[in-house]
Amino acid sequence: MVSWTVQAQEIVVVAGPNSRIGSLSGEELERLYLGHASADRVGQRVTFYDLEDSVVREKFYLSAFSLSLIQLRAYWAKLVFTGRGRPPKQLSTEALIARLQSDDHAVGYLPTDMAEGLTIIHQF
Amino acid sequence: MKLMARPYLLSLLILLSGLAPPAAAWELVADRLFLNTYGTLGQAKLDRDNVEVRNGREQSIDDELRGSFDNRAGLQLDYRINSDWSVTWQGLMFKEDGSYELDTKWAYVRYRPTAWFSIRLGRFVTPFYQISEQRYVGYSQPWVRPPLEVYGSENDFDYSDGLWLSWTLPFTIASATLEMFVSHYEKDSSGVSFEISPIVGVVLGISKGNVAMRLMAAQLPIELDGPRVANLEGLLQQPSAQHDYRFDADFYFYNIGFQYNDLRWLMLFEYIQNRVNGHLYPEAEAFTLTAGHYFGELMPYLTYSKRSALNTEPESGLMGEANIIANALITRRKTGQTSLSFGVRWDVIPGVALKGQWDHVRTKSGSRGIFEMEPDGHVNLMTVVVDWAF
Repeated sequence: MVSWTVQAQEIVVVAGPNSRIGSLSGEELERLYLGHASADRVGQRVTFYDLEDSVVREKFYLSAFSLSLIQLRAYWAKLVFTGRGRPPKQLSTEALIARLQSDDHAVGYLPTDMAEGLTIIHQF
Repeated sequence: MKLMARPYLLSLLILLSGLAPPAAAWELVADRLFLNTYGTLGQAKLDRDNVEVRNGREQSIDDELRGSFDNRAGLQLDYRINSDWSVTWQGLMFKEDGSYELDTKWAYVRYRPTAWFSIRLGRFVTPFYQISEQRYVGYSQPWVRPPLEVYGSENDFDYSDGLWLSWTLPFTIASATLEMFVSHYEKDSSGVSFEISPIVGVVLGISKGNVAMRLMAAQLPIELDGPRVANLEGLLQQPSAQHDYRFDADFYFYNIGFQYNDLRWLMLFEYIQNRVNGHLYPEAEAFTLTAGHYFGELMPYLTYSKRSALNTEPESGLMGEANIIANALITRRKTGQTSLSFGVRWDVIPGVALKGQWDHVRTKSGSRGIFEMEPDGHVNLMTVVVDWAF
């Protein structure tokens, strides 16, 4: 369980250890994570993931986009039912780390102390 | 009333009974086939017994507590063929003439060959106004229903069939999208053929951080055909007529929208103007302004909206029956009104929101506003709805 400690920890956006995605600016993160643009970067298709853990997820969206999960839910309802995008798939923390380590095109977010061995592509 | 609400209640109960997915969709086939649903279950009434609001499905709000005006349930299936191609269908179930109908609102194939360009071919809800596309998805909006001054009680031609192109513009300081749609709508009713073709529109959307802006312009050439139409057109289109009563005319729709949304505040503004090159059809302009404040799961909001009918100059050149008909048409289009609305949205659980809204509606003298007949003084409209989206 990571939820009880996450309030005091920083969140970082991470990719796999061999990823060539490079660093993302705040604007790029917003554009890609909120479905404003399709997830292509440096000539490769990138897949963004959410965490099932709602505490970490809430902290990420508050830090990155000043959005609460309630606002985010209404936002995605608009995009999904108008064919403009789908929310990132939700994975458990363990599944996300495994996905990042095996897929160089995957991007996610984690508490800083769980990002060891991964490439940090954005810090708040 | 219970019987009327049953199909919608059933879908809501299924969602709340534990079958609802933890995320925002059912993934019927992993990474391929997605099922989403939304809906509204509500009750509304007016405080006057001599007026009513009616929509295109003959459902009304009057002084009895009723739900059929707002009740609806939507279902969407989205199949990703591969990273470039997908197919989407969305149906909307509602009550019409005493029975439940399922309308296909969206049905299209999407091709996205690059990150910055996509094309949709098929049926889509025509994106005339800021929230036209999601007007039936109550959960995505703050109000119990989109402001009637701008959105009307229901658009007769809310969807069309055609092509929708979307470009993501290469700006770095903001997200900008340019969209263009070319589509067609037709309907036959009571011996009258109604066709709008080609509907051509351009939409520019710009967003940065908590701010989003939208500009839209569209042209809608309308053709009416049928023996009754020909007789009426012959009656009204006389050399002595003060106005042009052509039945085949071009509508021009314009829209400016603005949204601000942060952790505390929600602001929405929208202005529309509809013009037409003839005096048979109504011209109107309207705006709506909403301000809301988030208190956790609660959001009280205040909305002010105004609608003005633009071409209400009476006909004085025609005589006899033609004069009576022309002026009856002109009087009917006097829909100017203002409304002040206060509401509260409560996000009960993720995906379900309970809303209550009070609308204080005032019409100009000689104007019927959104009502079927001119009200005697102001009218209050009270509504409670449950919206969901999964």
